[in-house]
Amino acid sequence: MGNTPVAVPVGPAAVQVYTPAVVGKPHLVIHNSGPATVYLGQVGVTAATGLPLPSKAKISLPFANVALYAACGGLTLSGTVTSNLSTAVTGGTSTTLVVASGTGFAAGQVVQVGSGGNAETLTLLTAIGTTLTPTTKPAFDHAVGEAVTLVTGASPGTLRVVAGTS
Amino acid sequence: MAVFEGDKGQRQQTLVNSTTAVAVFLLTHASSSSSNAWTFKTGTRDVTVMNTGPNAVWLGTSTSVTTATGFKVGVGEQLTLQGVAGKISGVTATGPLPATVIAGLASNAWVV
Repeated sequence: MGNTPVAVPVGPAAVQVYTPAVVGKPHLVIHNSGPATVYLGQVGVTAATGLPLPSKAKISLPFANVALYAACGGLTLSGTVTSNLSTAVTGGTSTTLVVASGTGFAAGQVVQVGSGGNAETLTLLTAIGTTLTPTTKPAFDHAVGEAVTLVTGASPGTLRVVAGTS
Repeated sequence: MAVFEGDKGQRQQTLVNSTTAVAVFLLTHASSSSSNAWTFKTGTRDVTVMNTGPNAVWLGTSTSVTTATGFKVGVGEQLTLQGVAGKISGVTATGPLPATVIAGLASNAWVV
């Protein structure tokens, strides 16, 4: 059931690529059919924290009972379009990023919020003044002062996802 | 001349017992004395990873992997990576809640 491959484009912001079936024993095969490495993990996954799946590589999970997210690699952080949070962000709740300076940010751009293990990438729906509104809520908490930086140079990928149950 | 440190079916076991990432396996093109390393000249390999428990493990590409964003492997679960290279690291949840991970080569790790 549901064994037809589904092509899922993957960009620099984490996107959900798999939802486990509610009934039965779900299994999963993901093939990276794009030209670049894609990183698998949970919500908010980045190239720094996810499990790498190189181009042409495949991952097979006989029992796949959790949702999977993916993000592409090759990200470069802008050296010029960057600012810092002036208001703390609550993961799963906050809907905006309020930054000290909104210069250079625009709708449609991808930004990285934070660094290290809680860094995440978000796509901007709007950028008005110092208020940046992402298309999805941030997954993690971020403190005042954490960096918000424009992401460039990403290498988008494509996954072919085959999910089923037994 | 074959350069190898692993035949198909060879396994190595790693105790993951910290929120600080440790190597679960390393496929390296250079001679390496790192733990959990399989050495070969070029290309990619197939690796099967199983979590034998008693707690979950999160896998990722670097020491930045966390339980919040990494690839979760529950107790008794396994995955097979085909066509991979490099290092895969793992962490466990705070406690720490230890887990044992077995990585096995699903393809021969040498190039003549």
